Amino acid sequence: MLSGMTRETATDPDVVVDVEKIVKTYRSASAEFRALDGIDLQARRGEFVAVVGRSGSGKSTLMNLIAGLDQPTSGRLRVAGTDLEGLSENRLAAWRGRAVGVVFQFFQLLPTLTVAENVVLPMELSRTVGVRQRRDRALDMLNRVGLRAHADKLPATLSGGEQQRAAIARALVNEPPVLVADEPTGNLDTHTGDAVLDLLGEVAAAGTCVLMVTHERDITRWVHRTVTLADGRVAA
Amino acid sequence: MTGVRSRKVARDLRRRWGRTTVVVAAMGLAVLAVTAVSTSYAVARSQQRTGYLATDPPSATISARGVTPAAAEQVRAVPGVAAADTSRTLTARIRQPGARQWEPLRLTVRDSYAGNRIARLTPRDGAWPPVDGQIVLEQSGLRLLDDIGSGEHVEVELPGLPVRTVPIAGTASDPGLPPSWVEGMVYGYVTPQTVAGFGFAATPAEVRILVDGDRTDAAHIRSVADAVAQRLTAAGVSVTTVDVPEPGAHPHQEIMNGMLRLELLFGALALLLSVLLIVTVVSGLLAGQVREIGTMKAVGATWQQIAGGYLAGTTVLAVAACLIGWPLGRLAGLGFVGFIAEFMNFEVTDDSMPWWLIIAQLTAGIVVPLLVAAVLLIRACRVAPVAAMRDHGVTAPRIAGGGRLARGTRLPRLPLLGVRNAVRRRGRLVLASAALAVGGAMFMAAFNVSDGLADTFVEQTIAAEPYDLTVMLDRPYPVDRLERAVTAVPGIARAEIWTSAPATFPAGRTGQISGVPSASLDLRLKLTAGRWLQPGEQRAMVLSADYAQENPGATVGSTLTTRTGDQETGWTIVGVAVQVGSPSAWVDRDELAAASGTAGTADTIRLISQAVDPAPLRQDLEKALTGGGMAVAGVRTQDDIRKVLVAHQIIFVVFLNLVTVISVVVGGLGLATILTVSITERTREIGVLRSLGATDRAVRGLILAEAVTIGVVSWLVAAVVLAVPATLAFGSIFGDLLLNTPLAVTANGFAVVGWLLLVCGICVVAALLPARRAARMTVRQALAYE
Ligand SMILES: Nc1ncnc2c1ncn2[C@@H]1O[C@H](COP(=O)(O)OP(=O)(O)OP(=O)(O)O)[C@@H](O)[C@H]1O
Ligand SMILES: [Mg+2]
Repeated sequence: MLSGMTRETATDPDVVVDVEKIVKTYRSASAEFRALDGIDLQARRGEFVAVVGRSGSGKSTLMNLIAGLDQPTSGRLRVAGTDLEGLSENRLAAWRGRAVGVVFQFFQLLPTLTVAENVVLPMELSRTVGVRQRRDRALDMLNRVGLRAHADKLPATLSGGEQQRAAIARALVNEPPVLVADEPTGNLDTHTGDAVLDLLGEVAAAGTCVLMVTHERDITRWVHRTVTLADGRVAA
Repeated sequence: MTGVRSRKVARDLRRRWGRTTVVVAAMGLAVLAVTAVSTSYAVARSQQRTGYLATDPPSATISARGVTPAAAEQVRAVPGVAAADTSRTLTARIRQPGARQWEPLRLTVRDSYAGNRIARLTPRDGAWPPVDGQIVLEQSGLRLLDDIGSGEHVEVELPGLPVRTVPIAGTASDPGLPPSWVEGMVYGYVTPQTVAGFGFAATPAEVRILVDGDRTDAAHIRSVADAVAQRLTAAGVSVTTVDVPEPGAHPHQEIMNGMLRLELLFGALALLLSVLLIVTVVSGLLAGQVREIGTMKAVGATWQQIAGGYLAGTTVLAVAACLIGWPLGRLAGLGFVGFIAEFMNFEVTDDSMPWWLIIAQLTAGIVVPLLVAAVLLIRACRVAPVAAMRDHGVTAPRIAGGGRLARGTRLPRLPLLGVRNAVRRRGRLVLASAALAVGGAMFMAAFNVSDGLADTFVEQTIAAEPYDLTVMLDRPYPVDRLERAVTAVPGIARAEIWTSAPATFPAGRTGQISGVPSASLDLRLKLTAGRWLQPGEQRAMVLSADYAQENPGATVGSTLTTRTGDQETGWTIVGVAVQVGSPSAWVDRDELAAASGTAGTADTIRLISQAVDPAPLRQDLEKALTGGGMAVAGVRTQDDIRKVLVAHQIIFVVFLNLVTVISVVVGGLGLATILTVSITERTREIGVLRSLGATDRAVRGLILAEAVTIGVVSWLVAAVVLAVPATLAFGSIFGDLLLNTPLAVTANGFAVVGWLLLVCGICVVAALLPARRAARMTVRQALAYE
């Protein structure tokens, strides 16, 4: 009871991502591999954080844990005010719908839904917006990412950059306090990539905590802070 | 579920329309199978009951000599008797005028048809009841007479009397009789005046009664029948046997029951196969969705929300399947009922089913797929989103020696990849092979059992009694007169003189006893216990397996008392032998004649001809017998017997053929689904291969190699593991039903090879479509395929 109170008071309400001594071990038939080895990380509301590091350093693993897409081996995760420890897959899904937006390297738009319908889906799943307002809000979102004209097309007919912007619109539509993006520009040319980074910068400026994995070299123009991973640890 | 998700379900189903069609077909097939089996089971059972019982089959039949009209009147006065009639059944022959071949005719002579209370016949066309000088034929016999009709004439010959030409007054149907085409015997109905015109005085020899009160109570019937027999004896009538058949049981009831039991068994198998098939197709349907399920979870979908969508989709498919499968299943079921009805000689007047059965059929059609989908969904939803989104449709290869396989063999590399693909998806390989293997086992077992039936039931029965000709006389004659007639005929390799007698066994059971010449060289019945009769032995008896099974007390070494004529005789049972139909027992011929009060006589000649064609022999023998003052009641050649045996098993053969067709369709559909799914899933992989320079032929080879691998594995499982036990199981069920001994185990090589070819054929056809599509795609499309 007491310790809980202490922790509560000790927590800064602006810290929306709070990662403490996270360890993730992958077990295969033959070996055990420690992909994350005691990571500590905090990020605040409105902060735009880049996570960088060599290939295989554990960036994606960390992002997946923060988004509740996978479970840590040990350590504590507190994201958007919720302690993720012990939550079932199902509770995690419901939580994620409202608390975290996820953007993937390979877009992951549902192929049989139009762009607008892909954006409506999170609202429908989390019931954050009334039925009648959903499409309007989706179109609003698409307008913000410059895709209003493509709203009723199927994802397969869009270019990579357009698909990625649609995925960002889908991730943001429920106004989650945290946005997690794993190499959102990895498949895009420099020009399109810059546009996506601009967009994420605006999102952060509007108060969302944006965590982004990237291999882009020159990102200081957009991000507030860079966290470098090496062999599963935060490099100094 | 609302908006976007329902649209997704609808579009997913439409986009993969090929797969959706296969899924609906598979589910429809399951509904069809279940509906067909349960419909035919329910309708055949109830229609046979009403069709047969509504005719008021006789509760008991009392055979007697010299039944007078006064005695018959007295029978009607016995308490418990609701109705009684008298008749005489004559063994005769019938043919179309001028035809070469005679057909056996069972001629019923009844004093009065007016009452028509017992075993009522249903008039079909022409006149009913028969008028003097004319004959009414039972409709199922018309087929044996080239579909002759009323108004035409037939030739009828009573033993020892000249051939008569008689007009057919009409036709009628008698549901109480096995159909003519099964028994190899025509049934005819005439008045006493008609046979009197032939020169035969047909005094009634049979009293049939219908009891008051509970007509299903065998004990009650027996007590009334015994009272009737006593009354007849008191009136000076000599009673031979009192026959109380199992109440309400059709003469072919056992075959019918066996048929229905088999239907349930195969129905259960078909259901199992359907469930396997549904699991296969639904898991195939879901396999392509794993990544999307991961994505939906990533944007916040709970498993209830995901399951809701997919279950709604499954429901749509299941309802569509019911709409197609149910009417077809009902049609198929009723078609089979029609066949059973023809075999059992009953008419289907009402093909309705109880409402709860229809509900149950439809529920099964919808609930089973939903359950399957639910179980599979729970599994699919349990995958963590990261893993789900990484899904490439392939689990980690863990086959021992997989590497060696790749290095050590000289197969071209790309088809080898196909083999490996088939093995990699272990769960799916197991599922596809299981469905296909069950189908294959059913296929092979159906062929094997069909062979076993032909072999055991037909050929072994004939081989056990390899007589070319069996001539039955109208009554017993002195043995030496028969021997004289036989020696006068040239061309006989061997002749045996047999006799027979109707007998009453313990507990009032009636049956036929065969009197075998002590030096019978040719009888080779298969014994299930004890030994055959030995020359010079006193009062020895071999029982039929049928009788022994129904009377567990009748074992080798025990004594059994029978009544033949007016005499009681105790026999020592020395063996039990397999036999189709009558008789119930075999004893020494001379002892039987003596026990029946006709010592030194016999009534049957069985012989083996020197020539292949026994026809000339038959004519000569008939002439010699008639010349010696003896009358022939019936002649049966080996061919006649074979025809009857084949007709008795035909219902099973037809059924087994149906099973074969079902196995092919279900197995083929299952395989087709699995292949389409697994190939569609790897479109991207194929794109990669083609970007690396694989030609269309190479890609096709890869896909075919995978298909054929699944086919061959399933074939091996079916042929090596499943077919033998399935054959043994079905063979023993069939054998028990028909012969009280397991069928000979035969392996039909054609079925084993045929199934392999069939499976490979299905594989190639099923793989061709996706292979063509994969080959047609540009590399860019293939790589972008989701
Ligand atoms: N499911 C898994 N099973 C076993 N090992 C894994 C699994 N996922 C990742 N790894 C290992 O964990 C380590 C970290 O992987 P991760 O994907 O987080 O790297 P990353 O930093 O995102 O690399 P990249 O920049 O190439 O995307 C890698 O060495 C990888 O091989
Ligand atoms: Mg990564």
